[in-house]
Amino acid sequence: MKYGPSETEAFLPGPSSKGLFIVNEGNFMYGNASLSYFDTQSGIVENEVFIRANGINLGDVAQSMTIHNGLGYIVVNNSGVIFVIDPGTFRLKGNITGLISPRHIHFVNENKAYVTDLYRERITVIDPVKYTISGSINTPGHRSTEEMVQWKNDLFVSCWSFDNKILVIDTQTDTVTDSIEVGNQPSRMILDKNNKIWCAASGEIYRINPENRTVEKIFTVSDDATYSYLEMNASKDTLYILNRDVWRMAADHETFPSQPFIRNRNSRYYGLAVDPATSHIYIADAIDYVQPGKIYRYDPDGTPVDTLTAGINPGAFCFK
Amino acid sequence: MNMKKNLYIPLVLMLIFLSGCNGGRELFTLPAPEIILEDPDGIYTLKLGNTLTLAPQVRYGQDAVYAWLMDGKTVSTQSVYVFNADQPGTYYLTFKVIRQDITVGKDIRIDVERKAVPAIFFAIPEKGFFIKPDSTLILRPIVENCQSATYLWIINDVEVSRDSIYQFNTTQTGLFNFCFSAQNSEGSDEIRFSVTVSEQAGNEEGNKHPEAPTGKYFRPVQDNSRADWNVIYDYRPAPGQFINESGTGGFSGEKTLQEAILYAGERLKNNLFVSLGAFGGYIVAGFDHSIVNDGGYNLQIEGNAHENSSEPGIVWVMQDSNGNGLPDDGWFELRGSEDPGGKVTRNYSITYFKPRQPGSNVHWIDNNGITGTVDYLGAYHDQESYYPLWIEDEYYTLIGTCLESRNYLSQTGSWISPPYEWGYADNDRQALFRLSDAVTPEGDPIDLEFIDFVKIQTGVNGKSGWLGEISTEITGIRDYNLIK
Repeated sequence: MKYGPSETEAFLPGPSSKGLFIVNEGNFMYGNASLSYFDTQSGIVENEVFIRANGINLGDVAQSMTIHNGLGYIVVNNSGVIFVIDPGTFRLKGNITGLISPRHIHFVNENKAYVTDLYRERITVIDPVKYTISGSINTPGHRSTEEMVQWKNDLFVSCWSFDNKILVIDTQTDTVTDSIEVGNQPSRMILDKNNKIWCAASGEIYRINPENRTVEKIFTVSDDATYSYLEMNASKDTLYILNRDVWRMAADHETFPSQPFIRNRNSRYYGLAVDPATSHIYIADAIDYVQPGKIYRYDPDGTPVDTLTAGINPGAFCFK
Repeated sequence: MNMKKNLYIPLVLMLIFLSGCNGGRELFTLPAPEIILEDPDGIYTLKLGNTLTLAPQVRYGQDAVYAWLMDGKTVSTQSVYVFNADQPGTYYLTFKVIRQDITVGKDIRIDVERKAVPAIFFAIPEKGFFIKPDSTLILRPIVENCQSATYLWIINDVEVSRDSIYQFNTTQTGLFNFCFSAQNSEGSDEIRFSVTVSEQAGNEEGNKHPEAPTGKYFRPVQDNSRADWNVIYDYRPAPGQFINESGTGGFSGEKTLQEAILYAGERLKNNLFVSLGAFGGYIVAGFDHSIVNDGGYNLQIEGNAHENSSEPGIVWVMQDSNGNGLPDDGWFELRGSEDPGGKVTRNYSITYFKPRQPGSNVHWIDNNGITGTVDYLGAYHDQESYYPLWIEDEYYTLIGTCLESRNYLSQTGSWISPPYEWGYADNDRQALFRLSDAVTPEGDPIDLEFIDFVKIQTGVNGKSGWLGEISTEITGIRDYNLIK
């Protein structure tokens, strides 16, 4: 394991500028999280680009990455930090510290972003330009806040760990105004073209109407309440659900598909992504949680195309 | 390809009758019917011997009748359709909901997989790869049937990777022997090739730029000069549904380039179409005299385009600058309406791979690393292969100018390929071209006094569902100066 500044490498911003960041969690308490970059045109994967560009380690358990206004925000959970990088050169532009166990970041406007937390009854409000904490939103009774999705001025946030609620936050007043009960452990949320929120919880997928805050329909994905990954294509009319197999369902459809779209290849699937431009599908395989994980890339019609090696426990993706 | 539209017309008429004739006009307040498939893209993959039950949900389908069309023919009028995967291949179904006031359709593609042994397609230069030390070689083979496949890269008997893509760079010079294999439960395939790392590598590359025409070897029009072309010099189509086909395509097992050229010539003499296949396929013709650039229209190139079935071909011209009577000088493109202003990619190249088994899709990879297939459409064109029989190489590359394809599936379920404004062969009924539109490879205008050779090349990379790939078809090549 490397500590402190070491030699750095210069990455030129790729000419195609189309690519995919793969956030590798690493192992808990090992400080071996890393960032990989896959250039979709050339097929080149560059691993460990964060330490190579900056000479410092990404830290412990990298959770998620979001690109906003030309900057990449990488949330490193167990290090309690958000690193801000230039997505072209991977160079560090700044960092936001003072967080306990940050999970995801959501941009409300140019000067305000929310950061969820695994071990705190509050959402942290940050200034994404000044890289400072500007406030917080108390979430009494909900220690774990996870994913966020915004509809008009309302932010919906899932309460994941040992919880079953989605909280509604007024982004103008930064206060919790309502909550919606769903199944256990709600995690991923996404907004479709019909302005419906889809949320994965306890082996089920919930379709929620954000206007009247009611659950419209529940689709059963698996009977054993296992975790589902949820993604959507660019036109927001098609859902992709990873739960052992990959399932694909039209957002307008009223029944869950009878057959999977891509069958499990006996892997420990650890992440899912759908290219917003081309609808290519990426599935992360953690293999044994110790060796570098694999990424399987599929055509929009589900034909496998590439198999790549990323870092340890590749769990989150971010398209450039 | 468009010839199928002819079959389609009686069918449309039949559907109109099916939907009933109400003499008066009624006001319909219902929205158009919506068809919702379980699979949003309507693409299903099946193993041989399996069945697929399709039961689309229909909204606003009150009093509607249904029709299932397989490759354009009605196969059922029920709301549910059961497909049996008896033969491998790609099948196109259209589900139509016909209400008195409106008909809507949705395309469904069913891929029936054959026995899924992996097959590797990879363009390996004849003498292997040559690279300089410390440069990077990205090796990205196409693997067919790679569901649940595992990969293995071996260099000089040492395992180096289990990914599908391998990025090779070394500071060490010398010869490296590569082996790449793909394996799944059904079987395996492997390729072997060498990479030579040497300081001398890659120096011979240079962008061949056409020299400015000399204008020295002008051949004036004689009394017996003909407007029509007089020699076909080359015919190198991309793979396509009419290539090698004996029916509409008119092939009879041509196995050499000479035979293929004879075929193309005979077809054109009889005013029958010659298909250039998918992107980059071309034909080269010459005349018994030079064609003069008078600033107006000088060339007439006829295709088989009709309304909304543009399959644009780029026209190139060449002057016989060295006077040897052969098209070995420099090609200049005649620009069309998309240049400048539209999305035009010059030096776009596609490599097509010879299929391993009869009745297979043809895989391709372009110079951006994007892969795809020319689909095998067995229901219409059942020749063994769409890859030209006379091309013995395992792959070949076609380079040209690529326009953005405009085809789309209309609401009513038919494929539309609207024409470009001007300047492309097989685009619309306007089949005339000006030598004054000639441009350099940079797209700058160039003044050509006269030309001796013409090349027509398919100028889009696209496909239209069950109609298949977009391919330029040519029926005539003439000196328009002698006609006008």
